[in-house]
This record gives sequence, structure tokens and C-alpha cells, in this order.
Amino acid sequence: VALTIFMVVTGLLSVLPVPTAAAAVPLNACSKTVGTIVAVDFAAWGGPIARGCGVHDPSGYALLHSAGFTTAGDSHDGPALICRLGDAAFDHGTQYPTPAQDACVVTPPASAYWSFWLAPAGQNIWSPSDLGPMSDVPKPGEVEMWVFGDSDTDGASTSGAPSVSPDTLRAHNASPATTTPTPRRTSAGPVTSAPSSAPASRPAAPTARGPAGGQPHSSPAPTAGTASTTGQVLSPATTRTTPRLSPAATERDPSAPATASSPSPSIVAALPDSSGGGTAGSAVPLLVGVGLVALLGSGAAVAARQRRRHGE
Amino acid sequence: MTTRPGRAPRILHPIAWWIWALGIAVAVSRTVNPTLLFLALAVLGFVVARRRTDAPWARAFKYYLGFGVFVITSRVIFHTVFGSGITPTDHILIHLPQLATPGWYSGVTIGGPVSLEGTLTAAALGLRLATLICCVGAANALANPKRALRVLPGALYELGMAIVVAISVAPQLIESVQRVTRARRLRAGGGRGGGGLRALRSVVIPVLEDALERSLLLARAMDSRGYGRSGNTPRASRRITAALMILGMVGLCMGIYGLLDRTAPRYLGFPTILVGAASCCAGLALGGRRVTRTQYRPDPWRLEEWIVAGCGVASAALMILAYGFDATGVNPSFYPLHYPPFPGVAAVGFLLGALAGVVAPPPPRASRPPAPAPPTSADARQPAPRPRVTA
Repeated sequence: VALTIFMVVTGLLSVLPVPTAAAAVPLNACSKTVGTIVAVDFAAWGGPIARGCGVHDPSGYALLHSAGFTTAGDSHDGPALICRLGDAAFDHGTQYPTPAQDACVVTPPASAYWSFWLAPAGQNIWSPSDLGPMSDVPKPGEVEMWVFGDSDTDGASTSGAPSVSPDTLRAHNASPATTTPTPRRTSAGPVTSAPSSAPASRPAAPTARGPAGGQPHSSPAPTAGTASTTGQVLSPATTRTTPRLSPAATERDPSAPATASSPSPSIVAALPDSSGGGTAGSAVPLLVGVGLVALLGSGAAVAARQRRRHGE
Repeated sequence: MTTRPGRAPRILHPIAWWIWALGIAVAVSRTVNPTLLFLALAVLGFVVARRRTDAPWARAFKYYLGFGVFVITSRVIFHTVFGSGITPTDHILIHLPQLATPGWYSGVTIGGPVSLEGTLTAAALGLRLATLICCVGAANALANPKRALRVLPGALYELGMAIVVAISVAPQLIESVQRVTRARRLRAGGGRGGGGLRALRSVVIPVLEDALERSLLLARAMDSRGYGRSGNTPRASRRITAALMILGMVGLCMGIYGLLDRTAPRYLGFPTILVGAASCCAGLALGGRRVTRTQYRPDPWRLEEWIVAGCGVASAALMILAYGFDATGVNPSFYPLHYPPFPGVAAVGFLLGALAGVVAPPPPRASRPPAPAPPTSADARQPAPRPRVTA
């Protein structure tokens, strides 16, 4: 039986189309009335708040992936329960919590899990989402936020709520920047030419994003031309530009404590997923298991036949 | 089977089989790795095929297997109908038409795309439940339910009839199915022609009635032999026993809740469980003390019993060990799709479970032609007249 199932699955795998990696939506595709901003707070690991955009996504889950985040569920609840979150903008896309911190086999504890917060258009208050990320439908102008940590499980109080206000993250430009032929969140510089072929573009990304300094998290005075054109004018809370130059450096940046202690966390733009998906792994362990099952099964068959011959 | 198999002195102690099966069930409940689950099923099948008796209830295993297939199928169907959403990298099997649900009901989706990953996950979860059911089935097939009744703690005598019915109704059900289907086959027209709903009605109702009736009969017979009598114990002692038992159960429930909920105060966890367990033990001891009973020709507990029970415990222990080592190997996710790993420690645990099929003494075979055996020790507790099939 196992062998049949194994062959059916392998056969299906070769027949079914392998989905292509969804092209990430640029941050400036979102505006006050178009698209939904999604942000993930990596502060629990000393990281920034990564912020991305998605337009017309069918679910909050799809929104995360359009914005460039990667997610992992747990074995018990499936992919709909977000157990890990990662983004290329923080620590090379490592998903947090790491397997050492949470094996993601059973539902994460109420003291350490990714909580899901919403702020509808025009509202500057976070409220915990009633629905899971696969049931939630992002609305235009809304901000969705993922925060890790200890949240009040009844959801009534706001303990564990995001540390930044929704308006800090919200898109403030009146209309989306749709004029750019291939708009990407790293909209300036040479990266724009090949943003989806992320492995190739990654080495270039830090330098390329230098001139676009004002764009993903703008300074209080949007002096850079790119910032004003893309219109991503954020609150004055985010003044640091250095961590963004190298996403990896953000994590254990010696200067990071200054940001961490102050109530103004750094906000960076989410980068497209560059991991390129997992591999199918080795079939050898499965074959070993199937062999053992077949061995025991034939033992049982022999015993059953002996019994029948003995009985009849 | 009208033949009453002759009972040789060497039938393994039923409790040994139950410990073995429950040990494997504990191991199974910790994993969703399909390779390991199929291995567990193979182990169960191997041991049952080698060591079951020829008693009617010993043919139960194939019914449990069929029930397991039903469990897996229904799980997959439910997954397909109430899809739980897909991820952008899923391999899509089919696109079902999706029913639009109102906003307040959007937690449930009906229809929509069905992914290979989700279907495999549903099948693996169904397989785990099916394997758990088969563990109980293996214990029912291997252990004599009537002999198992004899070793219940004395305090449970209070519950008398409920316990007897609970323990014996599943094996009786299997026996009834066999007898009713055989009766139908003997009768003309009942064979394979008359399938469908009519056949179901003509089988299910007599089977249910027959099984329950015979369980009640057994309970009544045991009652008439003094089972479940309070006797001449003082009222105060009975009340103390009941209070201790209730306190113990409440303590156990609260303790488990306290252990699982990390936000609960600490004293609600382990200490409460200890108090509850101690109270239960005291209640059982107190209740058992006032029941005096003798046992005719008790089942021996020898080396083989120790080994068989130890095999089950070893499977559970090794699985828990493997879970500690490599939780994701024992419980792999199907997202993204990859071949399941095969954790060696857990596999060795299940293979130790298979050892029981070799170590346990072979069951005595019913000799042919069957002699209508005079009632032996085991039958002393069961009713002599067996109701005929009326279906």
C-alpha cells in the first residue's frame, strides 16, 4: 500500500506544474486607497520592522507572500498557522523563530507566537484579527501587522500590540506609483532591472539601495528625490539609514541598541524571497521504511496463510 | 464460529497485550510521519497474524483495518470539501467551484482549489487516527476481553455493569457481525445480491441489538455472581471512597489543565495532579479493601508477559526519545513537499514492538473436529446460554 501511494505521489509530482515564484509587489504600488501594507516586527531578535505591500490579495497569507515574506506553519496546524516568518531584509531571510527556538511541530505557546493585528483604512488603532491569515481578506488602505511575543490571549486588552502606530506604516501617497514599468520595492538603481531573479541581484542590492535611501523608510525631511517621487513618506520616527545599507548588519548592529531602547524602531522595506524553494530531499529513507513495512507485511501474510492451511 | 476454541494453559495474560498495544498507541500518537505510521500498522498486523487465537473476537483486526480506511477516506473528503486554504507554492490537484460565504462566516471555506500538500496532510492525520484505532483493535484481537475483566481493580466493582458493557461491547459487536452475516449467507437471497441500504438495515440492527443484549447478559451474569455488590460495608466507608474518587478525578482534570495552560498559576499544574492521583489511589485502595474475592485459576504473569509488555513500553519510550531529538523528523510537514524522513530511533522502537510477535508463546490452536468443550475456567464468569441469532 505504501509503495503504491509513494508511486502515485511521485507520479503526481512530475505531472503537476511546479508553481513559479510569485513576483513580489513593490512597496510603492500601495497608496492611501490602493493595496494593503503588511509589516512584520523582528524586534524580538533585534531586527527591524519589515514592511511590504500587496494589491488585491485574496488572503492575509497571500499578502505576506506577495510582499516578499516567507512563512512556515507547524506540523500540527498546517501552513495557515504562521509559526515562522522571514524576510530577505533581515538576516538573509532567516525565518524566525529559528528551529532551535521553536520546533514548530505543535501550536506555538501563547507566550511566544506571531500575533496578527489589523488597522483598517482611516483608523490609527490596532485591533487583533478575528480571522486567521488564510481567512482574512486584506482591504485597500488597511495595514496588517505581525508581532512576535506574549499577547493577551483573550484579545480584549492591547498587551502585546505593535509598538508603532498604524499610521507610521501606512502608505501616505495619494496614488500608487504604477508608471514605473517594473516597479519593485527597491525601485531605484540597477536592481529594478532584475528584481525577481533575486539570487543574482542580491549582492548588488545593498549598494543599489544606497541612493534610494529615502524610499523604504523615509527621513523626517524627505530630501532625497526618490523619496518624494515614490511618495513613501513615513512618520518622523524612522531616522536611521545605516542598518538598511546591509540587511544582515541590521541584526546585531552595535548601534542597534540605540534604536531598540528608543521607542522608534527602524522600519525597512521587505525584500523579495530569494531562497528559491526547498528541495524534495532524498527518497532513500522512505524506501528503507517501505522495505521494512514490506518485510513485516510478508511475515504477517505467511503467518496468515499457515493459519488458514492449519485451520481448513 | 460455533466452535469454542480449547484454551491451553498458555494464553498470554490479557493485560500484557493491552500494555503492549497501548505502548504502541502512545508512540503512534506522537507522530504523523506516514512511513512510521505504516511501519506501526505492519507491526500490528504482523503480531496479530502470528499470535491471535481462533476466538471470534480475535478476527476483529480486519474490521478495525476497514474502519481505518473509512477514517482516512472521510478525513480526505472533509479536507477536499472544506478546503483550508492553499499557499502560493502548492501543487494544485483540482479546482473545485468555491461557494461564496458571507463575511461573518469567512472562517469556513467550501470548495476552492485542492492542493496535493493539503490532501497528503489530511491523509497522514487520518492515517494516524486509523493506526490508533488499529492499536485498540490489535489489543481486542489478541487479549481475551473476558479474562481482562478478572484483573480489574476491586474498587471498580462499584461500577459493575457499566464496566462490563464498556469492555465487552466491541468484541461482542465483532462476533455479532460475523454471526449475522453468516446467517444471512446461509439463508437464500441474502448473499451478495441484496446489497445497499436494505442489506445494511438487515445487518446493522440485528448486530447492534445482539451485541448489546449479550453484553448486558454478561453483566447480569456477573452481577448474580457478586460483581458490583456493595456487600455489608458500612455506609461511611462507602461515602469516603466515593468522595476520594471524585476529589481525585477533579484533581486530575484540573492538574492536566494547569499543566497544559502555561498562563495558569503554577500550583494548579503538577501539585494538583499529584494530589488527584494520590486521592484516586487512596479511593481505589479503600474500595478494594472491603471487596473480598477469590480467583479461580488466575492467569500467570511470567517472563513472556514481562517481555511483551516491555516491548510496548519500549516503543513508546523510544518514540518519546526520538521526538526529543528530532521533533520535525517524527512530525514532518508537507509544506514544502518533500520525501518524509525516516527517524531511526522511532523505527527501532516499532520494530521492538514487532518482537512481541516472536517472543509471545503461540496461541493454542483449535483442533478439528471441534469438540464441544465443557465450560472451563474462563467460562465460569460468562453466561452459559448463548442467545441464538434471530436475524
